[in-house]
Amino acid sequence: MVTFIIRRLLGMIPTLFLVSILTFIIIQLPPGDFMTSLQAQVASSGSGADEAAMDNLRHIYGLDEPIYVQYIKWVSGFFRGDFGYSFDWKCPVGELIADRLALTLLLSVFSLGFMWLIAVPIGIYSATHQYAKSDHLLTLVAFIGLSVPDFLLGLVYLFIGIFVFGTSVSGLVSDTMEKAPWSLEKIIDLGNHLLWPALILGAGGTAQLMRIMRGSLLETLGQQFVTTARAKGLKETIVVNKYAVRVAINPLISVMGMQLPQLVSGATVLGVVLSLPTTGPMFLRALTNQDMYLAGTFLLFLSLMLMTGNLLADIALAWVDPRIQYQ
Amino acid sequence: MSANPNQLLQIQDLKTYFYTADGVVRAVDGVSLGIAPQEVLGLVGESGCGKTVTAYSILRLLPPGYCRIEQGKILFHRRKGEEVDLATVDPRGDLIRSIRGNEIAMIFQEPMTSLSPVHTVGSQIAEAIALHQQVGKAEAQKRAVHMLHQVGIAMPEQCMHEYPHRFSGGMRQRAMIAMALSCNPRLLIADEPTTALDMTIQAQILECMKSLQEQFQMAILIITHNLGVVAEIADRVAVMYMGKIVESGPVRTIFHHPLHPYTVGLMQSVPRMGRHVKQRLIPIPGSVPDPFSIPKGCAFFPRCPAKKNRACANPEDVTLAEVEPGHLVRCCLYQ
Amino acid sequence: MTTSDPSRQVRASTSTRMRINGGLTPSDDVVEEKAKEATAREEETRYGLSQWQLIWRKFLRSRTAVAGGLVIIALYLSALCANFLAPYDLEERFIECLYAPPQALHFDFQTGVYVLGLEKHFDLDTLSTTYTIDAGKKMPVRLFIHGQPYKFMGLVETDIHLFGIDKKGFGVFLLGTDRQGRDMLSRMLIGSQMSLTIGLAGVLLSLIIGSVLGVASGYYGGWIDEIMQRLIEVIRSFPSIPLWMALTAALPQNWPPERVYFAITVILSFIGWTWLARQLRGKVLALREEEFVLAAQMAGASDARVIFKHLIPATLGHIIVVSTLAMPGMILAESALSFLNIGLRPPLTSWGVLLQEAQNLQSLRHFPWLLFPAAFIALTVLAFNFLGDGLRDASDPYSVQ
Repeated sequence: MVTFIIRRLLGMIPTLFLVSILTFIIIQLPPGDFMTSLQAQVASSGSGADEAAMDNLRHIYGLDEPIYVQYIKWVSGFFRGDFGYSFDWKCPVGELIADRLALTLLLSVFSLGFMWLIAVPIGIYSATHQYAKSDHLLTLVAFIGLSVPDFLLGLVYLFIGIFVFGTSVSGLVSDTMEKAPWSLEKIIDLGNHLLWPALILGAGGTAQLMRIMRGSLLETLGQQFVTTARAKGLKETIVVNKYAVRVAINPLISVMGMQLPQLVSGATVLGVVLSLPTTGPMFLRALTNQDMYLAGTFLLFLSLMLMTGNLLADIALAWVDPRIQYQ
Repeated sequence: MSANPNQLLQIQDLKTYFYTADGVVRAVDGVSLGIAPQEVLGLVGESGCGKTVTAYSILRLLPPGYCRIEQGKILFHRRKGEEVDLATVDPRGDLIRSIRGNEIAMIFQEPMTSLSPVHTVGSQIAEAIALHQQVGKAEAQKRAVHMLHQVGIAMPEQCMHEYPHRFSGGMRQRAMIAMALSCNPRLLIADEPTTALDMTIQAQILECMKSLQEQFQMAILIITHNLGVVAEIADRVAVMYMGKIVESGPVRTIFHHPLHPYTVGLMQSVPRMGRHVKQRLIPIPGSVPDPFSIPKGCAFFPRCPAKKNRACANPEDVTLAEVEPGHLVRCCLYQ
Repeated sequence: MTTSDPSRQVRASTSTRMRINGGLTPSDDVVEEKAKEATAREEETRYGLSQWQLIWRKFLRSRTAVAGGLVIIALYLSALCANFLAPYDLEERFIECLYAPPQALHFDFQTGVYVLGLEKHFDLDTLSTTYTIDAGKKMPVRLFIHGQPYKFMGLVETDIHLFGIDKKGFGVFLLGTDRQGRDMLSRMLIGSQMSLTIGLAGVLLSLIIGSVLGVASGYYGGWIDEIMQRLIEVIRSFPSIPLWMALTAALPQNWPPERVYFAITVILSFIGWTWLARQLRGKVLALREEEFVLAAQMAGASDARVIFKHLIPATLGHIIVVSTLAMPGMILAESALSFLNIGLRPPLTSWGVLLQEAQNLQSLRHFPWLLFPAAFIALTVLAFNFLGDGLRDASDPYSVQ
C-alpha cells in the first residue's frame, strides 16, 4: 500500500510540471500584459500615461523578458515559497492566496461531506424500494438538483436570505463578528455561513451520487453473491447493507474523484455570486486585469487540489476494495 | 397427490410465473417432484427449461417484484418433525430464514461470483455457523476451519483469512460447499455446481460431494444439463422440458430405457467414447420455443419425431402418468 | 452465455435472440444472424425487429425520457423560429415600459384576446418604477402581425411575427421587460439560439475529437496510448470553470462576436473531449480482444477500416448516450461564463447573458421575472438529463422495466 502511494505521488510530479507549463502559457495568452491593462485603466480615467514610466515599470517587474525566462523565474521561486508578485494588490502572491485557498478547500470538503451523508442513504433507500412512489419522487428531486445551476441556487439563496429572513448571508461571517477574535461563537457563525453555500455547492453532486448509488446498488443486488448471502438465511437488511452496499459503494469512490473538479469549479463561481472570500472573485479579477502571477498561482493550486483529491480517492478505493492492489 | 410422510421434500404442481413487459413467462408450469431423505435426485434439462427457477422457488429466492408462485405446494419435513409448505411462507420472514442455510442449503453455478469479494472466506462461513447454531465467534471460526478441512482444502487456517479472488475455481466451489454444509442441512440444492469448472476439477468436486453426502447423510437435488454428472452421482433423475417434468425415474432405468421422445433424444445426442468414429451425432430437431408462447400440455409436440402417431391427437391433455413403479412419463404415447 | 440468476436467464433467453450491441457475444452473434435470417420470414414477432428498433421501442416506454425528448425538440424548434415567435427584436426598447411586469392575457368576446395597459408610477418608498394596471386601456393582441424585419432561418427576408399589438410605443410583454425596456420573452427566445447551439456545437466538436482520439488510442496502444493518457491526465487536472475562465479571458476584446462564439465553442470542447476519449478508450480496449475484430483483421481489413467500420459502430450507442448527457454540462458552462461576463459578448445574447441583470439583488427583489432565463436553463438541462437517462436505459439489453 505504501509503495502504491509513493509510486502515485512520484507519478504526479511530471504531471504537475506539465500543468505548470500549461498554466503559464494560458495565463500569458491574452495579448499584452498587466501594464497594458493598467494603461487602459489609466487612459480611461483621463490622466495621461507616460510611455517611458510604463516601460520602466515593465522592466522592473521583468515583464519585458522572454516568456521562458519569466516562467523559470516563477517556478524557481516555488521552493522558497515565493509565488510571484501581484501587480494589482501590490504584495506577494503568497500572502493573498493562502486564506482564500484554505477557505475554498474548507468549503469543498464540507460540501463533499454533506453530499455523502445525504446521497448514500437516500440512494440505498431508492434502490431497495425500486418503483415505489417514493423512489420516483426522489429520482425527480435528484434530477432537478442536477439541472439547476449552482450559481442560480446561490442567487435564490441570497434572495431568500435578505428579503425573507432579513439577514445578510453573503460574506463569510456576520458583520458583528468580522473584527472579533476567534472564539467558539465565531466558529459557529462561520459554520452557519458556510452551511448553505456548502449545501448549494454540493446540490448537483448529491443528486449525481444519489443516482449512481441507486444504479450501482441495483446492479449489485442482481449479482450472485447477494443471492448466496440470502440463501444462507441472513436478514435482508444485513444482506443489503453488509454485502451489497459494501461492493456497490466502490464506483462511488471513483465518482467522488470526478466530482472534486466540479466542486472546485463550482466554488469559484459561487464565491463570486455570494461574495465569499474564496478564490473565485479574486481569480476573476486577476484574469481580467492580467495580474498574471496571481492568476497563474491560483490556477496552479486549484489544479494541485484537484490532483491531490484524485489521489486520495484512488487510495481510498484501493483501501476499500481488496481486489485492487498495487496496480 | 397427498403428502407422502416418507419424502423429505415434495413439490406438488408448482407454477412459478414471471411477469415481464414483453409478456408472461411460465417458467415452471406444473412441476411435481419428490426427494426422499439421503437420496440424490438429478434434475436435467436444457438451459431455460425452468430447473433453476424450480430450485429458487424452493428457497423463495426469486425477486418479488415481477415473479410469483402462482399455485402449488412445496412440502418440507423439518428436522424437528413438522411439515411446512414453503410456497406459502413469507419470503422475508423468520421461518424461511431459519430454513435457509440451516436445513436446506444451496450452492451455485459460478464460484467466481458466488462469494462476496470484499469479505474473507472464513468470515463468510463462520457467519452462517454463528447465525444458525448460536455459538460464539471463536467457536464458529473453529468449526469453519474444520469444514474447510473436510471439503479437502489444504491449510484451512490460512485460507480462512484469504479473499475469494485468491482462490482457484475449484477451491472456491469447495469453499461454497463448506459454507453450505456447515450447519448440516438435510437437503443440499446444487445448481449446476460443476458447469463452470474444468473437467478434472469437475470430477474432484463430484467426488467431494459424494463422500460428503454419505458422511452428512443428506439429500441432494442436483441440477445440471450434463448427463455425465447425473450418471455419476444421482440415484433418481427427473427430466424437465419448458417448465414441466416429462419423465422421471431411477437413474439406470432412464439411461437404459428412456421412454419420452425428448429423453430418448437427449440420450442419443450425447457423444460417447468408443463409438465408431464415422457415426454422426444425432441432435434433437428444431429449437426451443419462444418462452412467451409455450404450447399447453405436451410442450415437446412441435419437435417430436413421433408426433405423426395417432396417439398424439390431443397433446394438450397429457399428464404425468406412472408407466412402471417409480417411472413416470408425460407423453401421449404412454397414457 | 449462461447466467446463473434465473431471472436474468429469463431475460437472457429472450435477449440472445436480439443482436446484442457491442459484440458481447460476437460468435453467437454471427451464428444467430444466420439462423435469424432463415427464420425471420416465418416469425413476425418481436424477433423480427432489428436492434435499433428494439432500442426505440424500449425508449418509448419511459415516459420521462420521451417527455424530455419532446421538450428538447420543442426548444430547438422554437429557437429555429425564434424571430417569428418573438414579438420584438433583441434590442427593441420601450422607454415608457422599463421593468414592466409580465402581462396577463385576457379574453372577452368583444375585443378577442387583449392585454391591459400600464400606468407608470414612481414609488417614493422603494425608489423604483412600479406599474398599475389600467383596466380601461384594452389593447387587442393580433396574430401574424407585421413587426421588425428579420431573416427567417437566416434565409427569407420577412417581417411577420406570430403575435403582437398594433399600438406604437407600447407592447405585449408576456414575461415582462428589463432595465432598458426590452421584452424578456423576445430576448429569451432569441437568446435560446445561442444557448442551445453552443452546447450542441461544443458536444459535436468534443465528439469528433474525442471519439477518433479515444478509439485510436485504445486500438493502437503503445506509445500513442501513453501520450494520449498523459495529455488527458494533464488537461483533466485543471478544474473546468477556472480553466475556461482563464481561456476566455484570453480572447481579445476587439474580436467580432461571431469569432468569440466560435472560440468559446472550441474552449468548451477543450476539456469535453477528454471525457469521451477516456470512456471510448476503455471500451475499445475491451472490444479489441473480441473475435469479430480479429476476424476483420484476418480478412485483411486495414486499421482505419477496422476502426471506422467495426469499432465505432459498436461503441455508437455509448457515444450517443454520453453525448446527450454531456449537453447539460456545456449549456451550464456557457451560462456560467456569460453570467460572469467573460462569455458571449453583445450583440450576441444567451440565457447566461440575460441572467447578468439578475445579479443585482435590489432589481431582483422588485422585478423577480428577471430570473426567467434561469428557469429555462433548468428546464433544458432537466430535459436533456431525462433524455440521456432514458437512452442509456434503452440501450442496455439487460435492464428490466
